[in-house]
Amino acid sequence: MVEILTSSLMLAGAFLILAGAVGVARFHDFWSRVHAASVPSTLGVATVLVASAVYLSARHDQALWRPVLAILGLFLTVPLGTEMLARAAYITNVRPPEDYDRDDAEERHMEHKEAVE
Amino acid sequence: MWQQLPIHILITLGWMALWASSAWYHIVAGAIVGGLILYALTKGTSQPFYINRVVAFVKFILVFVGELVKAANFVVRIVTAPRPSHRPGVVALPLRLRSDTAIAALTHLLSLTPGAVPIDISHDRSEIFIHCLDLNDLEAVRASKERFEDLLLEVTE
Repeated sequence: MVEILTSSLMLAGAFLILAGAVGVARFHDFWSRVHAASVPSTLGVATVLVASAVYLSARHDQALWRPVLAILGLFLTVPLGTEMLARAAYITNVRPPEDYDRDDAEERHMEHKEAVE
Repeated sequence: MWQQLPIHILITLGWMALWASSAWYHIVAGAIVGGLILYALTKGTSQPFYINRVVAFVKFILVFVGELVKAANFVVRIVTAPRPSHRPGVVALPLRLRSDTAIAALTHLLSLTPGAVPIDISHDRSEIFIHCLDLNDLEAVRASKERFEDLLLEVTE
């Protein structure tokens, strides 16, 4: 029972991480790639950690809080990295290969460009 | 409001001392008794009961996990679509939060919601610039931003 639960959780996590990697390869512009790199893989790694927590606490009687701590650390750091990447690209005036249908920040690109250069 | 927490702990410890036991059911019973006493004391005064804040926080975590699952599902759906048909774009949404902490928390949460990565805050803090993975889904992004803002207003103000 525990084995089935942990293996399905790990498979789900691995699938999510794979989906994130495929997204990085398939998307066309920088910010979409940042999306693909952050969201599914965060949940994927968290799922694998939950699987390890379930397995360790059921089979080896180990403390549950270590994977929980790891998940907490993940959720605190990954969005931060994502934001920093997105903002850095925005400030250094990265342009999408094709213009977006809607880009409310277009004027501010230039504003930042002057400030940076 | 948070000075209620040490009082709660003190009452719980007092209860445990009365029973001369640190069994979990005595801790739970003491916490319940302390909560009831604090509830009775704060009822009718201007001071809010701090457990309300704790409940708001727990609700917040649950909403966050739900949004994260939705976000992963959303990205996976776009990734696995045979022909990419999403229209990415940058939108400016109005920002109701004012404090630094709340805005930082909001951007943090938004980067894990379906199809949204916050890019920047306008200088006067009236707008947040969000990159949407799919503009067709703009309403969902707006809705989750509103929900997070409501929850953050509840927790921080």
